[in-house]
Amino acid sequence: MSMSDANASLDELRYLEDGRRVAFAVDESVYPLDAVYGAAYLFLDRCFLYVHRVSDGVLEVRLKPKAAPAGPEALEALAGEFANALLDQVVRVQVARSTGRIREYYMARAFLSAPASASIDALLAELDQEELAADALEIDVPWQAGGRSE
Amino acid sequence: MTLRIDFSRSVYAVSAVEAAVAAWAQLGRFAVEAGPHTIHVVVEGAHPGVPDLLDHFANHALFLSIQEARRAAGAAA
Repeated sequence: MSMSDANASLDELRYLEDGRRVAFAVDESVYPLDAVYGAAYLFLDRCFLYVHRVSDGVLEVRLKPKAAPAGPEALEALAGEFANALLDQVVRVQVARSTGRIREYYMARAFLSAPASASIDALLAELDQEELAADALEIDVPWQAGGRSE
Repeated sequence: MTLRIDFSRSVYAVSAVEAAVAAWAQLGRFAVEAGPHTIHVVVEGAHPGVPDLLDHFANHALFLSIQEARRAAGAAA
């Protein structure tokens, strides 16, 4: 089988378009609902979206551009763009799931190991107790009793 | 003119559809009926000055459903 034959036999995104909208099926075992939500969210500002459950594990996504009626090429490009966004969201969902425990651990560790002096009250108390005379920026007032005079 | 749209309950939250209905109530008489798998929405007397009213409404319902799902996921984490 030549390379071109192999490419021709590859399944591409199958979609239906009627000149105004484009629709395609999404396999939830590959693209979970969270990913479909994420991709849909990105298209809400420029498309009308309708997501419909066709059967268990299969969703149908319909996209209709809000702008003037698009041609078949524009609809095909839109479907491809949505498929890319879908894949991007799948990766995001997987990374979020696989690193969720680590993120929680680091956050907990960061909060638990923070020293008590880091609190604002402790810092203010520390400032109150600070020896102001030792502050290099303090402006000496010679007429005050106890003022430094060198 | 009567418009109808069905939402899959596994995708759209009932509360989100109801919130969208409340937001769009001035542009038509909306009736919502939640079945076991589907939420049926019927719009009568849709405002003639709003083209694609049902599409806008569906977008709003989807947006609120996404928001609700994310809030629920955040609360569960």
